[in-house]
Order: sequence, then C-alpha cells, then structure tokens
Amino acid sequence: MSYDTIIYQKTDAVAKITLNRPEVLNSLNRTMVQEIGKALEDAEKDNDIRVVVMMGSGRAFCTGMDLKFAKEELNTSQAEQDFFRWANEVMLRRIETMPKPVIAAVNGYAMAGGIEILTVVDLAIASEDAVIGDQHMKYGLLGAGGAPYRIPLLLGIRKAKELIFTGKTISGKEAERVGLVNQAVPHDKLESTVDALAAELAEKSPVAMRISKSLINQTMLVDIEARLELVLMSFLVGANSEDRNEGIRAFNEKRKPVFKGR
Amino acid sequence: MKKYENILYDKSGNGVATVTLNRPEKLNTLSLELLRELREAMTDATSDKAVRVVIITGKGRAFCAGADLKSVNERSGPEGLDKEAEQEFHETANAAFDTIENCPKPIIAAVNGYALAGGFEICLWSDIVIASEDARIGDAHANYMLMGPISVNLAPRQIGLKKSMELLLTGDMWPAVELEKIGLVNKVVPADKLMEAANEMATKIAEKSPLGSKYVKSIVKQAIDSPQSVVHDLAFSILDLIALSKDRAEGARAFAEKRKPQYTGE
Repeated sequence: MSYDTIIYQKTDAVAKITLNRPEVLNSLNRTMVQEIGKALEDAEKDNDIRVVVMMGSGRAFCTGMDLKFAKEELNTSQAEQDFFRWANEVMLRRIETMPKPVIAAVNGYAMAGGIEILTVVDLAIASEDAVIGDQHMKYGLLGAGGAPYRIPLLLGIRKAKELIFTGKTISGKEAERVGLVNQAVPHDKLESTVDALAAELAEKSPVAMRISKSLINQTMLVDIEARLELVLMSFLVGANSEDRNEGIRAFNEKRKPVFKGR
Repeated sequence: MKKYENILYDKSGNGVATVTLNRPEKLNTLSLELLRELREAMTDATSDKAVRVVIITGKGRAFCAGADLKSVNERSGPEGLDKEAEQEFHETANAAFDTIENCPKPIIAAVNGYALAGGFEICLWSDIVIASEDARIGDAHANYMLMGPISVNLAPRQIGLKKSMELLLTGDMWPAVELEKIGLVNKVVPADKLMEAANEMATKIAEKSPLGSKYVKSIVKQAIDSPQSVVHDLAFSILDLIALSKDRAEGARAFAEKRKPQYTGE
C-alpha cells in the first residue's frame, strides 16, 4: 500500500511512521488517521518488526485535528461522534494495545490530538524546544481522544489540571521534568537518540515485551472502555455548546473568545 | 449485492436484517469461509442505515455447533496442533465475532437447534435470545476443546457462577427451557413459531429510535462491567446528547399529537 499523508519505513526490526503533512503542521484528517491505522496494523502483523517509532516531518509532531477538515466533514454531532470513535479505535487504542512498544519522537509542536498520541505511546523522547500542550480549553473544548483521562494518569492530577485548564504549552525540557516524556535532547540529537532506544528495545524478547506492556496497561487503564466512552460523550455535549462555537469563531477571527457558559 | 455461499443474508424485512448460517449438513459449524461471510454480512448490517435490528439464526437441525475444526485438525500431527492453522482459525473467528460484539444495533439470536461452543458464544454476544422448544444449548468446549475463551468470561456475567460452572465443566447441552429459567434465553417457542417470534420482537425494536437503541445497548453493556459511578455520568452525558437529537423531538411531538413516532436515527 502506498501512503499520501505519512511516510512508512521499515529498517531492520523498527517501523517508522512519519506524519507528513508539514504544511498543515501534521494536523489530522480522515486520510491521515486511516493511513496511520494501516501502518500500525502492518507493523503489528509483521513478525520482523519489534518496535514502532512515530514522529512528524517539519516543525510539528502533530497539532491535532485539521480544523478545515473538521469544518467541512464533521458538521454534525453524529459525524463527529463517528469520526472520533473510529479514530480512537484505529489509532489511539491501537497504539496503546498493540503488542509491540511504540516510541514517539516529539520533534516539534504536539498539541491537542498530538498530545493525545503522546499519552498512548509507550515511551517518548522530545526535542528540548518542542512545544507541547493540550490546548482544547482555548477553544471551549476537551480532548475527545481521552486527554482528560490519560493526562492525569501520566502527570498526576495537579499538573494535569494545570495543563488542561490553562491550555498552555510547555517545552520538551519541561515535559521531561514533569514526566510527560522520558527524555528531552537537543533537536539535532533527537533522531539518533530515538534510533538507539528503538534498537535497544528491539533486542529484548518480544514475548516478555508484549506481556509486560499488557500487564502495565491492565494495571493503569482500569475500566478504560467506559471511561473513554464517557470522555467522548462529554466532549460531544461540550461540542454542542454556544461556547464552542464562540471558541472556533474567535480562532478564525484571530481574537480573544468571550465565553458565556452556555 | 455480494453472493454468499455459507450464509443467507436477507434485508427484505422492515428495518430487520436476517443472517442465516447455511451449512445445515455440517450443523452450521464455523468454517473459515463461513466466518468470513458472517463478518462481511455483519459489517454491512452495521453500516447500512436502513438496518435497525439483526437476527442471527441457522438452517436445519442446528443453530451453530461451534468451530469447524477440520482446517486445524487436518494439519495437526501426533506432536500436537498445527500452530499456524490454529492461529489462522482464531484470528478469523475473532474478526467475525468482533463484528457481532461491536455491532451497535440490537442483535437477536433465533436459536433453531443445537447451539454449542462457538454457537453458544454467539448466544452470549447477542442481546436477546429466542429459542425453539427443540433447541439444545451448551458450552460443550470441555468435550474436545478444553475451554472457550468467550464462554468463561461472559457466561458467569449472564447466568451466574454455579450454573456457569456446571455448564462449562460438564460440557453438557441443556434443553432451551432450562436456559430460559436461568436467563440466557428470553423466550422459548414452538419450533414452527420461532422466526415469527423473532421477527415480532425485531420489528417492535426497529420501530423505536435507532439512536435510542444504540445508546441503550451501549450503556447497558458498559453497566455490566464498569463502576456504577462512571456509568452514571456516562448515561447522563448521553441524555444531554439525546436531548439535542431530532428523534427526541419527534418523540415529544408524537406524544403530544397522540400518534406513533417516526424515528430516523438522527
């Protein structure tokens, strides 16, 4: 299969998925989610592959939903619900549950859906000057991909609330300090650091790796299906609010939103 | 429309699709081909907006007598099972069962005869089970397969600990009426009234809002194995969403106008 929106390469035991729409900061549309899902599926089924690496080309890792695509295609509540449920299944849950370790190389902006990818991968290395944030709150939204559930699991409640409530961004270095990524390295060392980590994991027993990943997930992700469903439904309720429309309008008009609580 | 060889797939019912397992000479055992066709039909029924309820039934003496183990057994030698064949079967079966498990529309199993092992598991995945008086139902994995991964998980949630132990440890099959008593079967009817009863139930559900049915099914399933507090919040979030739907408004109008509501699922 050929890909239009990602680059999918296999080198030795490592499969690398590079999000490749740099002109829109690797924001996600339907094709891109589908292609990421296909690549993950291939990497999972290919017995020669032991580790998956995800990164972005250009200035961004991933900046979440492509708002132009959302405006054109996700124009009903049902369409939004169908899209997010599907994207959660083929991309986020697939990363989380696949029996091989997934490493994110956070090369730049990781916002909204981008930070949600960061919350489901197993390990993450960031460029020191990467810019990472949840951002949803800025637009009167919340993360339909599970950010309000998974960010607290990673960061603890205090830091998670700071990041989610303010919608602020932090640097790769700060992300390392609070435990959102394993390590922050100078930008020109990112790829070599990730490659070395991937090579190290590829030497380990795939059986022990698969079982360990599954056990850790079982410990941390209690009742995850119901909780993700709750996040998605709560998102949709918020998405039908006046505040959300105001958030999007303000973004398009490049002004500060005025929220009324409706 | 695709031509099926191991099942019949009928969408002529009013909002009701019927999938009939159709290898009567093999007691509708699950071959790789049948599983692939079952998956395709269920995928179609899930995506086709005109379909609101799915009935699964079998042709002949059996509803489904479980896996067709030929493909696995023929490739096995004295040293044991052929691992690749075993894996291929499990992957194909899982892919088919996933489409039943994940179908957001209500599924009615119309159990016309033997429902064993994989057939028993289809009953466990279904939302409603209507059985013929002659149907005989059991887990039966204990007889040859040692254990059924779906049965051990779902049976205790549906029929309780002691009855599950008895059914799963003995491998016995029981008359449908015994399973009605313990709640695995909703209703037992004479053999010649089975499809009529299944269709009556299906039609009744198909007249309700597809949106409502979808949410009821999803929350009820969550409620079986998630904490009450999480499901509570989920149910009320969904209620907020329902309040925004066209179907909810149609329900209110129909009530005020004393007529039958016409739901669209929007």
